[in-house]
Amino acid sequence: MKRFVFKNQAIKTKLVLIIMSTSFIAVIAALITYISFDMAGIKNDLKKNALLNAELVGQYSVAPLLFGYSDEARDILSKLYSIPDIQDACLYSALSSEIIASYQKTPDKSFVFPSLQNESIIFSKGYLHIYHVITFKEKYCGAIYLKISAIALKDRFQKNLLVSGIIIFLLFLIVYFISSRLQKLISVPILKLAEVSENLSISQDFSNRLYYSGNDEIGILYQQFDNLMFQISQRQIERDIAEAKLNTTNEQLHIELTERKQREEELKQSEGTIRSLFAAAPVGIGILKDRKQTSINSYWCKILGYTEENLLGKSTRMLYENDNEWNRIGEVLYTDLKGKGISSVESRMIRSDGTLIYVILTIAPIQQDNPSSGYLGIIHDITGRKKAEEALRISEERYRFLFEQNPVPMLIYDRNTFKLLAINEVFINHYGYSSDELLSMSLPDLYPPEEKERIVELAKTLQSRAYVGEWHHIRKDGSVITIIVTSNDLEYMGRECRIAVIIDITDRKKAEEEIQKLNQTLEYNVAERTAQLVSINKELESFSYSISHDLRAPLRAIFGFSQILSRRHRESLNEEGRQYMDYIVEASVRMEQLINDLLNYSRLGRKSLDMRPLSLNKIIDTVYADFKQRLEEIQARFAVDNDLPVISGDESLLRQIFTNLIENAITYRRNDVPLEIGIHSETVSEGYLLKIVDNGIGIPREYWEKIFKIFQRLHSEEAYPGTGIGLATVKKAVSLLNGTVWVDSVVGQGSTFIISLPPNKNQNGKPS
Amino acid sequence: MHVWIENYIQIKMRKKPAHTIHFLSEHFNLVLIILIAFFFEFDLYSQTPEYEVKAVAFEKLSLFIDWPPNTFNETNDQFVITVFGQSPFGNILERVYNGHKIKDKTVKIVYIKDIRDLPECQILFIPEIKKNELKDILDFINNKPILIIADKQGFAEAGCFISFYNYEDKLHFEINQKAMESAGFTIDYKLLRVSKIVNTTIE
Repeated sequence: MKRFVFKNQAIKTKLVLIIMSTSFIAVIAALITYISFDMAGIKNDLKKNALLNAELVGQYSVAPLLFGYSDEARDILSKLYSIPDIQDACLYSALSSEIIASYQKTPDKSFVFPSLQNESIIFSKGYLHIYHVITFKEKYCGAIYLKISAIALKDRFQKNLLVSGIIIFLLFLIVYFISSRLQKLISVPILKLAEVSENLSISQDFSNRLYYSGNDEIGILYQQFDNLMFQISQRQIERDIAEAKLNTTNEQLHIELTERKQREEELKQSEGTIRSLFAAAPVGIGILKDRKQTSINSYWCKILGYTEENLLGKSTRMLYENDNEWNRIGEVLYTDLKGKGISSVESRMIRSDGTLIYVILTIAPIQQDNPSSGYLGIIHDITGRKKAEEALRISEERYRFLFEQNPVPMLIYDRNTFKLLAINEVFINHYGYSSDELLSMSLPDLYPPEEKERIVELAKTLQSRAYVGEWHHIRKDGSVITIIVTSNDLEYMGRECRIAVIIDITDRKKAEEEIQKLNQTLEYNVAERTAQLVSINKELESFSYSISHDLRAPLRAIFGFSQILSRRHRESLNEEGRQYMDYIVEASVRMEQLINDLLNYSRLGRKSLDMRPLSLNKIIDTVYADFKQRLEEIQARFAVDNDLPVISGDESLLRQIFTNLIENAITYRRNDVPLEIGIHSETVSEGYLLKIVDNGIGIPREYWEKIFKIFQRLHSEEAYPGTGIGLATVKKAVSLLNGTVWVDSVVGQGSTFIISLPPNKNQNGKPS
Repeated sequence: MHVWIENYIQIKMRKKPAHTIHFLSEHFNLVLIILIAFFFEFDLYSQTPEYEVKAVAFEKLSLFIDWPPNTFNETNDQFVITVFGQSPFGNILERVYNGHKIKDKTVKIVYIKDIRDLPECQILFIPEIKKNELKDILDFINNKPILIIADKQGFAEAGCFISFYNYEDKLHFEINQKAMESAGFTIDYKLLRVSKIVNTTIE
């Protein structure tokens, strides 16, 4: 599989791979050889070194060995400490081959020194074991054993591996770099050859030649390729010549063939055309011989309502009403035919179902010189056209009547020339012109000079049905009339025209103008009267204010003195006198109350309003404080929502509203049940609704509006005391706050006063 | 020892009868040991006796010591050890050096009672004697190239070159290095390292 993958690689890649793998193998081999030699050398060095050490120590130990001084020997061995690689060492005596001294770099009791062996150096488990015979002056003195760590060997090996790795990597890069350059020496000419061959197979131009300076195999390849191409190009030229000859012959043949085919085709086509014309023509076509139908198309049958079998071979007599008609047609047609070669006649025919149809029959001889070859007959059904003509005539009559007898003036004018083409009788009567005069006039002639140009401009732009607007026309007697016109497109006598319907609005116009004049006078009168009323009202208000104000002083005198009189001189009066005195005092108290209320009422709106955000709960709290004692005395329940909104308003107005309403509730309470007063609020899209609810005597529906008027009372002073000003004050105060107040009540159950106030402009009126 | 070796060989051979050469190469260790054993055959018979050790010590000492030049004639190929006075060796010396060479020369043992009988020799062994006797001997020798070895500790200081003494059951040496060097001897440092160096004390 892999071989195939390699096989499909580009030649560049192959070359690079070959060079690289060869270099890689060579480098690996070299490195392996180098490392093994190096390691062998190192091993040898290690051995030599170890042997030297053994010999040196051995020589030092000669005397102790010979004389059996183990202490001395141990002392010498201990000097091995300065050679860190030596792990263990021991000396064997000459006489008994016993160990007389030993050394361990790191004391390890488990280590057993080996028994004496012959001279040898052994590598084992990362250590070098040396048995060395000690001789001194050719005398055998004993032997030494050294165990030396071969860690240097391992280190060296690892170092070698690392260096080899780096070398291989670097070489890999260099070889890759060089090989990818050098491969071009081979790949470029081959690729060029491939490219040329590819171009050849496309262009088929074998005249190109390859040039290569070298004399190597590629040079030969190029040469061979050139030779091949030369031969091919020679063959090609020969082939081209032969082909050219062949082509010429072929073309001639082809032209001849095409012409013949074309002729055949044309013939076929014209025959086909005629056949299809015969079959598909929307007219009846038939071939007649001796006035017999020898061949007919389907439309012929369709027009006459027969099947083909019913007609073929039959005389045309059966198609006519009677012999006379048949003979007349025969005579007309065949006589006419002699002069022109074609003739046609209009006639009526009978269909198979007996209905009559109008047709135009046209005949022509099939062969001009030979009448016996038969005639081609064509029937054209014109029944529909005939009927349409009839319908049109009737319709035209109807519309003519509509136009001429219409009670509104109408005219028809030419779109292009503006000539008047028709007018109805009413028009003539209304305008005073004669019919002939009008027909000689054009449209602008009817208009006063200042409108002539405008009407022409406008008339040009009018399309379909249009309301043209208000204009003026001049009648024959010179009088001007105001008209409104509606016009529409119309085809009249084959021309593009417009028909116009004219309504004379001169009288209506006059009436309108009069009404307008009257209206203007009326408006003026109303404004004048209103101003008068306002000023009177103001005067009245200030008058009533000053009256009530001025009345207070004398009233106080009456009240004061009558009280003094009643207190001090009561005893000197008889019973009747005392009663009168009480009346005076009582009346003056009521008078005082009345005047105070009146003053309050008239003061409303005299002061400028101080509008600012106010908490309704706070206001009601202060109002409640005034009423607290009275409400407790009558054991009334007073319930106020905690979340009444903060609204923008005038404090004194609001106080007056609530004071009056609570006062009202107290006054008109029922005596059999304890009074309950509730104040609630609702936020609605238009603002706030405040509801003051009581369970008093209630108000009948017919008085719901009346109660808000000043001095209106429903009850006698004796039954329910009051001045009749309180609710009027409430209404005025609410309207000053741009609100409205109304009442909802059930007699015997209680009343609800509802105050609608607009939303705050600055605040959202969230409950505080 | 011999018996043990023979037994060993027999056991080995019984176990693995093979060609002799093969056997030698395979058991080189053993062969070496046997050779060494034969080489030091005398040692095998004298395990502990003090004078056997001392007798062998002559040969060992001479390994480390070079006699002054011209000590040995070209013709004279004998190494003469002279034992003065009452010999403590018995026949040990003859047995040890029978057929054995020191410094590549055959060894001849001479016993003398009078110093005036001193032949031409390389080693003079002096047993435990009185100090004034020693003085006579030293005067007699008078710088002749003879290695004087005394069997008494302290004699080296008295003028002998080497004296034997025992320490921890081992034979040790006192060496009068200066005296020896001035007499033309060279001593290997290896010997000096394991010996006690003393100087002549003049009385």
